Amino acid sequence: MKLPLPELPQFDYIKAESAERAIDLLQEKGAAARILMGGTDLLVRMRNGALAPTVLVDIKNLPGMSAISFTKKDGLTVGAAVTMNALARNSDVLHHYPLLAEAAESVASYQLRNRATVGGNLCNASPAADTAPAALVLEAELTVMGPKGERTIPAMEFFKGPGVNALEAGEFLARINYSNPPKGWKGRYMKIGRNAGGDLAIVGVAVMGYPDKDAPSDFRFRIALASVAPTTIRVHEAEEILAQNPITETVIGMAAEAAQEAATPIDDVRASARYRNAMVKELTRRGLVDVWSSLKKEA
Amino acid sequence: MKFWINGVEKEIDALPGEMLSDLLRTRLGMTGTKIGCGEAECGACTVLIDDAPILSCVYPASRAAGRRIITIEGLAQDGHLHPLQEAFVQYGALQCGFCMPGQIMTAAALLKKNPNPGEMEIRAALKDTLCRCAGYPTIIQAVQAAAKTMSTGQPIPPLGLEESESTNAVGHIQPRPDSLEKVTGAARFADDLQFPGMLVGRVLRAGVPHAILKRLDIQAAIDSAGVVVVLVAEDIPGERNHGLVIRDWPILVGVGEKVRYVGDAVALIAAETPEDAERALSLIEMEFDALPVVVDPVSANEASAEKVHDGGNLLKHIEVRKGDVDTGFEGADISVEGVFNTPPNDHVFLEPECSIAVPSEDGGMEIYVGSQIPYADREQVARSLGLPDEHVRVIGTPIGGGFGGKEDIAGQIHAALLAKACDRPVKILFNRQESLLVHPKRHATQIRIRIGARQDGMLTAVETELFGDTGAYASLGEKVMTRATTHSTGPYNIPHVRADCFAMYTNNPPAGAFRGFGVTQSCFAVESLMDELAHTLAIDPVELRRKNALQVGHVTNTGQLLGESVGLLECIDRVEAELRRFSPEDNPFENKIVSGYPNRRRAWGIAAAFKNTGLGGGAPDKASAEVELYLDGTAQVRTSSADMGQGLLTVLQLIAAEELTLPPDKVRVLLSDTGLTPDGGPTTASRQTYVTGNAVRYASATVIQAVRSTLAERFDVPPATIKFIEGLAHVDGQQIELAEIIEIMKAAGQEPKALYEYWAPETHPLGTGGDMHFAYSFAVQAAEIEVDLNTGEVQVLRVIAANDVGRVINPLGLRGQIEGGVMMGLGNALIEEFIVEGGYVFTDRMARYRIPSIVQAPEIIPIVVEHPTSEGPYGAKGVGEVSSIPTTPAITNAIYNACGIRVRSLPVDQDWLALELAKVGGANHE
Ligand SMILES: Cc1cc2nc3c(=O)[nH]c(=O)nc-3n(C[C@H](O)[C@H](O)[C@H](O)COP(=O)(O)OP(=O)(O)OC[C@H]3O[C@@H](n4cnc5c(N)ncnc54)[C@H](O)[C@@H]3O)c2cc1C
Ligand code: FES
Ligand code: FES
Repeated sequence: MKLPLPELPQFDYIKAESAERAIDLLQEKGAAARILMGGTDLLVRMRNGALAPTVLVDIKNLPGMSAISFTKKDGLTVGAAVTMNALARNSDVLHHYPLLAEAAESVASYQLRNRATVGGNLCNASPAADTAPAALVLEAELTVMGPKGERTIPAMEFFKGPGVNALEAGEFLARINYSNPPKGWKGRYMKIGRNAGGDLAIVGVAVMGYPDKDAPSDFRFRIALASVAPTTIRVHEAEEILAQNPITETVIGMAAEAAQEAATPIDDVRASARYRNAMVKELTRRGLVDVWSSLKKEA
Repeated sequence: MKFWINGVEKEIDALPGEMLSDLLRTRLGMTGTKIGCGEAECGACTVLIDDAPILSCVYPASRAAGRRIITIEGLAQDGHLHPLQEAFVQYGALQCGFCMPGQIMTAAALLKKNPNPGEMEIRAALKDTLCRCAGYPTIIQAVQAAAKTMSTGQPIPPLGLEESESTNAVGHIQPRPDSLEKVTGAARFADDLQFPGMLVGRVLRAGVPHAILKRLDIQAAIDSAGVVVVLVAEDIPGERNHGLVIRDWPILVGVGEKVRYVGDAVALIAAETPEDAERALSLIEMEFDALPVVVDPVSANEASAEKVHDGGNLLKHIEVRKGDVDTGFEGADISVEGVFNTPPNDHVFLEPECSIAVPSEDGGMEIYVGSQIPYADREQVARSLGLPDEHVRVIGTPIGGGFGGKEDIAGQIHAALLAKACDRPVKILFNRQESLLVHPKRHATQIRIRIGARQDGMLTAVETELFGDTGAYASLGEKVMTRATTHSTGPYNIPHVRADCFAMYTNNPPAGAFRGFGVTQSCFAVESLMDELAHTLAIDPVELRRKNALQVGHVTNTGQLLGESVGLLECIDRVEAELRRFSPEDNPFENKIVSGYPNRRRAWGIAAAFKNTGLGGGAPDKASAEVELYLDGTAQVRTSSADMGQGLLTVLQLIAAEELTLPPDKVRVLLSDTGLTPDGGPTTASRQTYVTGNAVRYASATVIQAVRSTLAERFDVPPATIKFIEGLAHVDGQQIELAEIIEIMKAAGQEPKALYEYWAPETHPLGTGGDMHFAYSFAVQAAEIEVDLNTGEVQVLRVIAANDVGRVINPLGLRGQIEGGVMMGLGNALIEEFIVEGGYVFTDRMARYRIPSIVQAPEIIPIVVEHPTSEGPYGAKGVGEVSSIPTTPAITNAIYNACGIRVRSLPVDQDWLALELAKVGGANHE
């Protein structure tokens, strides 16, 4: 059993003055070093004794880390150190990517959202990460920097397991690009916590949809789930059903069931696997109904 | 590094691993910023960095470089309170005040960004800034009032609460006398105090639920750097057990002795720094011989159960008998029966326990602690040190919430033992985890209840059987479970009653006092079953309660003839009238589809409760208070009673002001210093307003009497002709000021002060008939809730709360008690569960033990009912507990009305509810 938890273990805090310096430190110290962004996850884990790195490397001040930019051509680029509050109130985000703002707004508390970063949320690779489903349905690309320079990882390939991401030794996440989504798209992030308290997600569902003349149903949808599998996941089976069949309540129900099938949740204190399963279906249905009705309105 | 705090430039380097909160509190002595959890859950540590609110407990100090920090100490400008501070004071939004720095700083950040926030925006911003005293509705109002003042420049609009017209002070709106300190961060809670040479004390906990301690090796800890002393059981100079009623709780478990729960203490360390203490703690080796673990009270009662204590597992079998239940059930047309379960709960007072022991020069010991029972602390500390009581002085610090959880010993004895051994001051501060692990909880119970009634709804018999889990040690278990048992048949007039309770020892954390004192649990059971009965008989649930409600002239199930002050019927009527206002056309107890949400159902539920005021059961219940007049025209009231946020300071201030005819601001109240204040008795059982209130009233009256007779003699007038108006004596046409009065008294060889020992009316032990309690408070609540049939989510929308408090003394405090009581009842109904598995605590941090936040706060409609007692001050009786008791069943009954699912086990898990709904086809999942 865990006894009263220790004081925060001592660590060295290093503000990296360049990307190279950060990469060097990460390589040199190996597992003893960790990137520190908002620290809302890392420092709490350290206090709980779950992690004990000895060097924390702060990269928030590197160029571009806190920038948000939007162009018609490239879409939205968000520095890894952009905080949830900054993201949720950015006018480009609110205007072009309301789904992302909604997801960011659903994270933790007001105070924590001033610290919690999008990069930290994704790198954390928690199955419950609230901005990860949005990254999946928006098919974001993650630009990482490392010993071999820059490379890009699609969000779909970034989450490897609970707490495990696709970064290699010495690498860090620099920015996230959400390419310009298809014209006329709509999206929602539906989240259920405990007792309407806005807790960590028991289930989170991101739904986006857009008109597509090539699809038999004239629409395509993308659906991603949080908190119901070892990582956040896309549910292609459900998406396929919606592409192939004219959208009706029944078809939405079938897609919601397909999403439920794809989920492999576990029991924990916040909810049972059975409940999570049922909620995947419920929230997917709600999200689809919502997105579908806004799509129809516009059509 | 360089940074600015509250506009002042500082140059100081961060230590490795240091958080901003540590830098502020420990190294800069800015203790206004509070630590409630250290795990980013509570918001108490909020400060502004470049105008944005952050949690300083998880903000590395080194990051502050070059930034502008604003803390609660810097919010007031040029000697003027910030409008938020002013509004919080005037509206009484603070109770214990521990969360206030966090609330105010978060709200300040919101107002900087959004000068005119709506209610939803305030709720969203303050979502995880927790207040356990939970005056959430008032907090929202205060933030809105401050916003208005900031935009209009007008003063804070008055609150518009009703005030008494027949009295000068009592019944008037009076902000807590310590408000100012608490909203500016100046208040010094125990952990905010520093003493020269003070060491850090830590306690090694067993970490196993049931075992014999076989080996203990402390050598490596003794040799570890910075360690001053390590103590084990053999080092205790005096008595080795403590306990409020039965001394069965080892101060330290010795080798060869028994560990009975995970939080049992095995060794103590005093060291120079927290890191030194922490390191040494991890170097102590323990070995155990494990014993079978007793996990619940029902199995604890089986013959084959492992014995937790030598005397067996039964702490007490409690019996209540009235009439003959068999006859009663024979006379019934119908009977209903149910078994109900309640989990243990934690108080989660926002201020974790902290004790500081300071050796005094004369060989005695001073203890600084926020305690509910300072004199009991003194006795228990003195015993363990082997000192006479008078050599120990307990100095009460402000209490950051108690709710019953600060009655037992926490770190007081351990700190004293260490301080004595090192001859240096020692502080023992629990972190949140240790707090959750160690202090006594609310009793988990299993309650079987059977009610017999006639077709017309009149009750004929009630039979109950309770099992209460008192955990490893007795604490107040017997008394709590006695209250649970005597109240287990509800506030009803029942001819035949049989109630049995088995209070059992187990290897779970001890259970003791918690607001409601056992009645919370039994009220949930009986009020749920009363509701079932109403449905079975197709009688309106309000009507059923009205028919059976206790009234003056009725005899309770313990044989007490109720002679006065039974306001239950009026509470029922007032709640019903209010229900009609919300639901003029249709039956409020029938469900309605929420428009726009076909899957949601809404309905009201109702419940009634009563709760004793005072210790009762034959326990001598007395309090002493001293009142003294001063030359500067003020008076001081002194008594050792605790204000843990419930508002006693104001109550005593108002009572003294009333009797002395002084403006309340001229009355200072000093509480809880066993060296300076006489014993006010324990702060428990909603007794302080009544018992200590009377002591203050009579002490004040005695002073006035003395003044009157001195002046009468001096001016040679009949005493009755002397009048006191606003602190002036009117004698024979002339006005004499307080200062002059005191001089006259001193000249006549009299002291302008009086000590009064007040004895509450005698009570009788259970089973002997007669008055078991000298007063009861009554409450009726109706809750309107909304259930989502698909997700099982429950939202409480409104609570109407009527309380018969005898007489309102402190309207602001009463409102706080009602709001906080309702929120605690809501947490109990929907959220809170202290999870122990096989004796091991799972909910060992706030991330796991959730308490209600402002987003769950419903609209609360308080109704005050005043059926005065003849003995209580101005007719008052207790309110602190009863305001919380009926909330839970009102909510669970509303859930039944909304969706047809009867809750028999708390808390109502949305997961469970969704499954039950699916079973009856209410939802669309399999
Ligand atoms: C009380 C509380 C409530 C919470 N509620 C929610 C919630 O509702 N929803 C939710 O999704 N999360 C929640 N969280 C988790 C956490 O706050 C968020 O995931 C947050 O976004 C993490 O961001 P950060 O900047 O604080 O990350 P950090 O704590 O600084 O970092 C998180 C992890 O990612 C690594 N990392 C960070 N940035 C990089 C990078 N650029 N490159 C490589 N590795 C990196 C760090 O080394 C660390 O291991 C909560 C946490 C707490 C304490
Ligand atoms: S003390 Fe920082 S959030 Fe509780
Ligand atoms: S006043 Fe908020 S916790 Fe007591």
